[in-house]
Amino acid sequence: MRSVLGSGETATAPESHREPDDGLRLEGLTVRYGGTTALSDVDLHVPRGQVLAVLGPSGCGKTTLLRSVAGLERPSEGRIAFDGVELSEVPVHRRGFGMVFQEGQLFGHRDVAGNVDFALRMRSVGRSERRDTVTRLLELVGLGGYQDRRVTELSGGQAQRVALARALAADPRLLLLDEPLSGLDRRLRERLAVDLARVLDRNRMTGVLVTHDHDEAFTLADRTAVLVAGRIEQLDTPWRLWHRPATEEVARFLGCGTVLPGHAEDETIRCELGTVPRPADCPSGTVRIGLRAAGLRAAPAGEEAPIGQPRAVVRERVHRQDHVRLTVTVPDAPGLAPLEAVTSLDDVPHLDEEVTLTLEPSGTALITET
Amino acid sequence: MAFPDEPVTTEEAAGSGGAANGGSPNGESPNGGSPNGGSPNGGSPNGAGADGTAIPGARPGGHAAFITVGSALVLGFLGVFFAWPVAAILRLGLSSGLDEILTAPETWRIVAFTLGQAAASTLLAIVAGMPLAYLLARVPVPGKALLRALITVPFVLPTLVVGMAFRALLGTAEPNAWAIVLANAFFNVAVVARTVSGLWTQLDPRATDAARSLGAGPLRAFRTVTLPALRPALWSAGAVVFLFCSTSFGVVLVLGGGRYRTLETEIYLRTVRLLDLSGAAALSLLQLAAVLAALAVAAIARGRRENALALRRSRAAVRRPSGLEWIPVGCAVLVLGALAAPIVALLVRSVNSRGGWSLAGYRALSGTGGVLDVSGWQAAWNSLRAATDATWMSLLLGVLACLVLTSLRSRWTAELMDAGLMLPLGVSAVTVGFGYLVTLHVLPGDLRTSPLLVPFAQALVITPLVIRTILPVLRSVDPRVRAAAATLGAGPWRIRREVDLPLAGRAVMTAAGFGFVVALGEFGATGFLARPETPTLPVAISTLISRPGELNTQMAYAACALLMLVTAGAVLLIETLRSDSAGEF
Repeated sequence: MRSVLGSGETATAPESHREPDDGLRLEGLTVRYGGTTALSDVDLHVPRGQVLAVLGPSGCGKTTLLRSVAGLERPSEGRIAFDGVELSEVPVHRRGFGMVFQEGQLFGHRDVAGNVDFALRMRSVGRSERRDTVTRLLELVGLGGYQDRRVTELSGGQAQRVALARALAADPRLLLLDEPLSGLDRRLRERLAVDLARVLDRNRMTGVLVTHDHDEAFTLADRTAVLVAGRIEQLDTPWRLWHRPATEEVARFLGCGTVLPGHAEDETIRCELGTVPRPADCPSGTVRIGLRAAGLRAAPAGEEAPIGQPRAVVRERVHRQDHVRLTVTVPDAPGLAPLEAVTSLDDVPHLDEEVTLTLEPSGTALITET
Repeated sequence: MAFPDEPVTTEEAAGSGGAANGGSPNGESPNGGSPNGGSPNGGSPNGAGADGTAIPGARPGGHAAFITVGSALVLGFLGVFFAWPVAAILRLGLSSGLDEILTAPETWRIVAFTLGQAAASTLLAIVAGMPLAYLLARVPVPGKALLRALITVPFVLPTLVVGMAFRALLGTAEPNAWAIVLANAFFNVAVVARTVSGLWTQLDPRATDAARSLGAGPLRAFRTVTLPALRPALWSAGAVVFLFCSTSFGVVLVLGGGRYRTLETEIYLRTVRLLDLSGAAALSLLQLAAVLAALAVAAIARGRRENALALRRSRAAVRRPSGLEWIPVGCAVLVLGALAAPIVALLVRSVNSRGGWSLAGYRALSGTGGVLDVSGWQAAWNSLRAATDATWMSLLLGVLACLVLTSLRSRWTAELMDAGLMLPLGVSAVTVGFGYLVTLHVLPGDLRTSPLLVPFAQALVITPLVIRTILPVLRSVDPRVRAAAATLGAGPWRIRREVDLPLAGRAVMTAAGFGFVVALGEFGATGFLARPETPTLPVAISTLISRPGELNTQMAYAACALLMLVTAGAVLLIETLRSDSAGEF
């Protein structure tokens, strides 16, 4: 996010970013297809050695962003630079950026080694060095000994590992990852995400990852940009995105099913469903509170329930791994949409039973901008 | 120049070329979990809004120069060896007589017969081809590659040979309209069977399973699920078959005996026998209009096909028939028998005349006496040489054209050029051959006496076939695979060499094989251009047919048998090679 220095200076990109280790810099990047705008005035900076995740719902333009950086898409406006060098006239194959595609896009007519080897041959690396590099890279991605396998025989996870090794073989200045794990099942995805994070970290890679999965983004990236409808809504650390979403869209995308107005004063923030402690960075006055399911804890309403604690009625319940998720309605607040709440597995309320609701600060997010 | 013996749109219509015939050329999807390979048209969302142009964003100046030079070469060849001769003939003819032809009732009788026999043949080919398509796509048949190759044999047989085969089958040289319909259908059953089975193989059988589980009987499931899904292939095959049948030449010439005439034979007769050029030119125009209409229908059907359903190849789809499913299998066996009958009849007739069994025809072919200037073996050798030259020429031209077509950024330019390259299909070969004689003396070096003249004409005939075989494969390469290569440091040329050509390699081989076979049997243009001292085998056959005498007839049958064996051998070889290498992917 560019700092606002003065009225005139924000419009044009300053030329002072020509340090050799500047990394990737997007300024005012806009991509239009006919009448639709896929990306709108995107500014991003990825310093060398850092991984940035671009997180967003499908259709938000994140793949377009990645393809523009790779040179596969021509921006309508704005500039893309790496280490201070403008890239608009540099064709894809001369950018030195590696890309891991969503479904691998391996070369079906080559075996595993042939796929990884491809990038090395493009760089005219000698034969014996190529063989050694292929071996090393396959070991790096956990596929040692797979050289002669046909790529059609690989499982989805293995194919993605080969795609990663192939991209790394190009010794890219920047690695672009287009939902590299989205085609895999959940368990494999989690394992591969950890492996991928290790590879990126060990090689001090500069990278851009696009994904719709926030766990993937938070696992792999130092910072995450949330892209909604072609605009960057927020660029922040995982903690800030999770707990201090900049806008209601970001909060909802990151799991806040309900957003309630609140009022911060002294030690607490008060909203319709109760109070939460006021963090130090929260200004006083009107704020909004985003509620995830875990932000509301439901308990059967006994006789001795404290007066003033909101009461609700259970409408649906679903068992999850370590808790029960409820959908409840609050009869006293008919304007409120049905809410998600959690309760422990030990004392599950019945359908239509009355429960009391308690706010759980760890399951809430605070939107302080108004 | 449209003979029914041009296997042109089979590959095209069969979706992704080789995919239909053993082994998807660009491999299965690397995701082991969802093998949707072989149907790259099916689902390839290439990122947000990328429009599938060849190598987006990666077009340095050298590549633009390639497109310009390549287009110039391709269009130049087409201009000199096709457009110019045809235009010359049309101008020659149109100077007078168009209204006269168009108002003559005779003309419209010929048009009616042309379209009528084409419609009947198309219908018959579809009815006979469907059981075969089912057999190829859904039934576990041992030696399926061989079966597919055998079905393909009639399709590439020279038209004259098929005409003679049906004459042998009927046992008479009397003109017979039904024989024409049967012979045309005989040719084109393979088009239907291969096109439809190509799509059928890739249909997800679970859609039918779903219909069955919802209470549909096997017939109803076929009618409501399978048939609608196959419709694009049926349309595409139907349009192509109709095109072939309506421009059928050799068959009508041999079996129609002057009583049954189509536009194509009428053009030939007027040009060669009556020297009525204006009449021939007027008829050519009429035919061209009809052919363009058929091509347009085929193109629309193809377009629909390209955004077809989610396709997947699945082994589970091939299973032993049960119950009612034996009925189409039985029909398929009957059709196979019917396809074999004329071939067997021809072979028998070549060693059996009224005088009983004898090899007289073959013996006479080896000698140089009689009506032929050269021996049959010499004619066969001429055929092989001309076909070889035509094959490499058409490969050069065709591959170049495909590379240009897939590089063009504007879709409309590409479509237009594609259509232009298909035009030689739609023009009577006779017109082109005659046009050569009228125009080519203007060029430096007397091409008219050059031994390359016949190969040039044949190359023109088979180049559309080469393009239709290779282009769909190149087009079906997922643009993201090229994008992947580009991000790994491959420039546009490198991508062509390292990605496109290996993926299209088998299609190029197939194109070469089929092109060679078609050139071998080409008669319309060759008959015009071959010099008397160097006839090809088909030219020799036509000479023999036109002469009276039992020995000449016997020699013609023997030569037909010879040509058929060479053709069938070549086809079987191509198909076997192809299915052998299918395991590679």
